[in-house]
Amino acid sequence: MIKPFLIQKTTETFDAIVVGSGISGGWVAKELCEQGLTVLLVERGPEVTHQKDYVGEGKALWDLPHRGKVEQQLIEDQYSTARKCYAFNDATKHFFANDNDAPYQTKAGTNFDWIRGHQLGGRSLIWHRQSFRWSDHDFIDNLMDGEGTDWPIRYKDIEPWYSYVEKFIGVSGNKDGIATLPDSEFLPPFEMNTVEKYAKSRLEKKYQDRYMVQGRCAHLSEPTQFFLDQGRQKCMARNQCQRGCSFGAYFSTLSSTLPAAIKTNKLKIACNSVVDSIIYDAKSNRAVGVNVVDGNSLENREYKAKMIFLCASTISTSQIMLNSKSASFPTGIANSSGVLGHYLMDHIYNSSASGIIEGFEDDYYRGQRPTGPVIPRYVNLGKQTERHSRGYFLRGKSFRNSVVHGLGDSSFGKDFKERMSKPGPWVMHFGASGEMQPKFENHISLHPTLKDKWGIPQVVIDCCWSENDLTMMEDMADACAETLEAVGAVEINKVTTDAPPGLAIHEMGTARMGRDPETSVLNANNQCHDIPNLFVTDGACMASSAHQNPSLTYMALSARAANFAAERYKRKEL
Amino acid sequence: MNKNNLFDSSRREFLITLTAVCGSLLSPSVLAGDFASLSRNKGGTIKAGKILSLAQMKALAAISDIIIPKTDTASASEVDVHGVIDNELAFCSDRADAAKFINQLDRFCILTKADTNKPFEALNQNKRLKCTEALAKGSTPYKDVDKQFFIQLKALIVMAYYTSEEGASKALVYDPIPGGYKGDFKVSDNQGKAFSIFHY
Repeated sequence: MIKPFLIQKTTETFDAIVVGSGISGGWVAKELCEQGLTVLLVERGPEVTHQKDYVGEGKALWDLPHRGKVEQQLIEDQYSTARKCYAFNDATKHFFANDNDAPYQTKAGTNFDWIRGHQLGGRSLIWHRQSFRWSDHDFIDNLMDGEGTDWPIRYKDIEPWYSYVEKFIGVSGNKDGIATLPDSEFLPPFEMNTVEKYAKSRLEKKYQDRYMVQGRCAHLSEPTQFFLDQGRQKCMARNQCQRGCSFGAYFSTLSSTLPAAIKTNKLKIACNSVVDSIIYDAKSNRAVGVNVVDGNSLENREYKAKMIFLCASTISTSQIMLNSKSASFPTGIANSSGVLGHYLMDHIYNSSASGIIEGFEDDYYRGQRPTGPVIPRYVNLGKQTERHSRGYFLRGKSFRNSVVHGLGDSSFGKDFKERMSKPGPWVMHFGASGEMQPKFENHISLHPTLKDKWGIPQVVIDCCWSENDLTMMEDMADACAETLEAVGAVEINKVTTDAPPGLAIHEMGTARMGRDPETSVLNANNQCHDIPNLFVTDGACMASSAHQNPSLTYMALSARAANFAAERYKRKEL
Repeated sequence: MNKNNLFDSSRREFLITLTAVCGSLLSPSVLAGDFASLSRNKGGTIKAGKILSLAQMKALAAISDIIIPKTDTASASEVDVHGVIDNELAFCSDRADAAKFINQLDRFCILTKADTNKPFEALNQNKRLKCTEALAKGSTPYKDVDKQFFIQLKALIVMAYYTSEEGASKALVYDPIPGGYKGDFKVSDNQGKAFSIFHY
């Protein structure tokens, strides 16, 4: 099939270049194209075609090549970090970056797991799709405890853009009216199972300020004609999402924003194009293009445009900026503030608890639901009431295991086999998602000598949990256990792990938004303070991490910034 | 994205439990369901494996059938559980962990033969049962270390069996396209069985 929108070399000067085709890049490309601008979407990895290239989808384990196993040698050679991601397996591994091609360093004594997806669609193919709005609390917490810089926007500034993107992507959920977790534009929620309804009832009877609400996710629970017309269909509850979903039931760049952008005939896509740096024209003080290394041949080429959006993912975006040095910006483009690369954050996922809910022996459920109940934030609202600053919410679900319940004991034989044929007892699990404070010392830099396959300086990550983060971990584990006790669980097992940052895969910061050009890289419109036609709308822009999954906020900020930029561009004000 | 992925908690719980009983022998990708069998021996002839000897394969197949015997569904060896485990040890395990497991299997074979004068697979059904009971309890001629081996062995056999087509779709209910989530469902409406969770 001929795809005229795919290019490699070109002399065209585009209205805009968008670097990265993940969640943020897909949204920016769509918005700019729909505003009538010509756009070149630059993706470092290969093309992935929706449906056709979901090679692991729908295959039973016994039908997978090599019976589905990822060989140990392959893991050691290519996936030493990717293997740590819960979604990594033989049916999904091709959507994870080769760690050996793009190595990174961590400062001695620290660790950070950086999970990457280098292909058209980026990590939108393998994200976890939980979609929560941030609230007013989340945009003022930096101001309240003095860590980080004050956000230059508030909830009211982004609220209409949340609505805008939600209507397009499809978010399932229930209108709960909870201040710390504002309602979205919802499709119907996924159902709670019998035990979750029971737990909700007990929890809300015991506490006046705690609620159990259904999770919100970018899945089409009941698609309207709007979505069906896009070729997207209802979620089948297979829980094979990271293999790729031919139903288009969850939002990804490939199922949603990219087709919309292509439809405008304004979009070109350059795959296998690794951006090395931004081309800067000091005379006009504008970014005028990008230097690219071909992903396969390693040849160099340039692409030119009138404005540039960086959406390469948090750390990669700052890597490009730090590597874009000039006489005007000797420490990296748009870094007059000196904070580029700093204030790296992730979410704190180290605390959880599980317990058994007795009874309900004939109750069950059918399908693997793509979300689960949430207990919205209830601590440190308006003032600090806990040992730690900031907040968290609890996420979990109740479920029955298959075959696990017979392991670890001395049973075997016919009775054992009979027991294995039945579902195990009801388990209730809660895991906390906590906010990591922004700290200057948590940062990335470029290694002075080590380079990757494409000759680009390797990233060095120096990031650790703070005392506040560690205290929050302890309190979150207690909160999980306390919640289980409140809903009547027994055999409660509380866990706090010592995992380093990274594996929440919510890395944020390093090119933060802020009010003051002397302490931030971006203004309220994701526009570089220093360079008017350079924008950053991926996780790098975040001034704090809040406690909610961030992708929905990236989408809203991306759409908002793209429309701001398009309007200014048309008025020749960029 | 990952996440100590709490919304995958049933799957995560499953992986955590298996990791607890198997240690590091099962890699995350195996635990995610990527179990494999390269050599089916449907004719009933057991062959030397990729890493296990013929004798080791015979012992493994025999004890697999004691742990998961034939009922109205196939036994473990009938779905080549021993081949799957051999493949796992050969290609998909940390080398040191695989070597340790093989040493423990050898120790089981040696202790059994010393106690009964026969290899495990040459024993009659009653004696196989008694040996397996002793192994599971770590009682004579076995020790506590062998009890731990039993737990690990059983976990591998369970994984291999219930990820086979027979185990996943006949011993359990295989439901690859549920068509949506239904929160109010009954075990009694599901043939009294659990769903296979290995299909994602």
